[in-house]
Amino acid sequence: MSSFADKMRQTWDENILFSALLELTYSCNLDCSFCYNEKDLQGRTLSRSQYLELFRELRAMGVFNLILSGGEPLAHKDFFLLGAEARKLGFVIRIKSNGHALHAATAKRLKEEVDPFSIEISLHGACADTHDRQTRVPGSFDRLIKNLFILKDLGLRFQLNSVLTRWNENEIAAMYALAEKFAVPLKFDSQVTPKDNGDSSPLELSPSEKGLRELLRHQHDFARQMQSEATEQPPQTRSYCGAGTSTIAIDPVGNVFPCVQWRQAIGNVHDQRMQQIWQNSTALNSIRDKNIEARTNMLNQGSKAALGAFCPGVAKLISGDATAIYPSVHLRSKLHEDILNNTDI
Amino acid sequence: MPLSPSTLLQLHTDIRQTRVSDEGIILRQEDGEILVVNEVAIRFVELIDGNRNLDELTDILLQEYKVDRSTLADDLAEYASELISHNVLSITAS
Ligand SMILES: C[S@@+](CC[C@H](N)C(=O)[O-])C[C@H]1O[C@@H](n2cnc3c(N)ncnc32)[C@H](O)[C@@H]1O
Ligand code: SF4
Repeated sequence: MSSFADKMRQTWDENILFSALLELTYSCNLDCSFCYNEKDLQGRTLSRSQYLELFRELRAMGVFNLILSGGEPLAHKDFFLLGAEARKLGFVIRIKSNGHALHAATAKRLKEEVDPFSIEISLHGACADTHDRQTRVPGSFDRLIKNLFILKDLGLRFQLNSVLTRWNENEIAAMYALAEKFAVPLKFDSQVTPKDNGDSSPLELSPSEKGLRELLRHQHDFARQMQSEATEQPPQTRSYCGAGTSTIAIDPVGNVFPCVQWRQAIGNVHDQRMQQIWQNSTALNSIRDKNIEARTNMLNQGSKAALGAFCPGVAKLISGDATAIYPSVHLRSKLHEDILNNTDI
Repeated sequence: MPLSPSTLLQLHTDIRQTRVSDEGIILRQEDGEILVVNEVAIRFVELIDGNRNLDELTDILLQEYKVDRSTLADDLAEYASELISHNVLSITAS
């Protein structure tokens, strides 16, 4: 019998659609200074009935993970109706939220009506000053902490996600301690990306080399505690990642992308059925080729550490070429190797 | 409770399942445990609706797979026991 990892490799290698991320809306109750969303996106938003039809189609195609994101997914007027329908269809529902609206009544409703497998909640710092500075909403940190206690009490599974920035890089240890207090994982993303429309202004918040080094050290120590390898072996797959091979992302106006980071449209739900896009899109075929090329390119770098630091979607946004290695990959892989070789001081 | 042809089975409400080519993936949401099962086992799980008993499930699968009845019945009993032990299924009536 295959292992789950074998099955995931198979989805990448055989282009089996397994996960779909839906950006339900770009509306949001916070206003993060570095948010990549294109808030003034033009186009006709998908209607309730289009979403329901899309859900049925995705499920018929065998999609397992349905990730509801945004903007703030809970800000979509039909969030609960769509969530309940997705549950009925048997999806594993994952939600990406800022947690701001998850007060007692809403969290309880979420558990009862949607029953998500997990909620990924963004944490921007270990204290109100830093968190609220990034979200640009005073009181958002205190409210989030209060809501996290509620989620915990209700038995809703959640994890914290944080983007490492220049503003929060001095609070890494304190953020891990905060996650520990709730006994939940904290996952850092060390890459601030440009906006979806290519605007590079968010990059001003990119972490410093010192901040990156600090994060990698924490992660390395943690991996050592768990007695696992700090860097993973490259998976034996043809493609670099699941973008366009086992995943898709769909924005609020129906544009379909290979992944939430790789903003190269492969079709639109208003014009075509998902099955058609997945099987016949020429744009998707060339993305799959690029994904294979990206893997070869990264393996040729000869650095295991570099493999984990690269994202073809970010590369595409930064340089227009999904296989071109961008500067922060070199930096992060160098720092990683320093730590592995014990040469970082 | 022992299994018999009249046993009624039910999927636990936290179970989610899908197919990836010729095998199935079963997730238990409660604790995140994932099982990979063979094609017949995932089809068996898909057919469990709380109304069909083991005998009726065997009848349906007999039409879909080239196998003799007693081998299939033995296989299904084995899958059922295994899935019960993993908290995927429970017996509602015997
Ligand atoms: C766009 S948000 C949508 C879900 C929800 N509103 C939230 O904030 O978690 C998804 C994730 O992207 C992260 N994010 C936003 N802008 C980013 C950027 N420019 N670079 C990297 N991550 C970013 C957020 O911190 C969040 O973890
Ligand atoms: S909460 Fe999420 S969607 Fe809202 S502004 Fe922040 S990153 Fe963007």
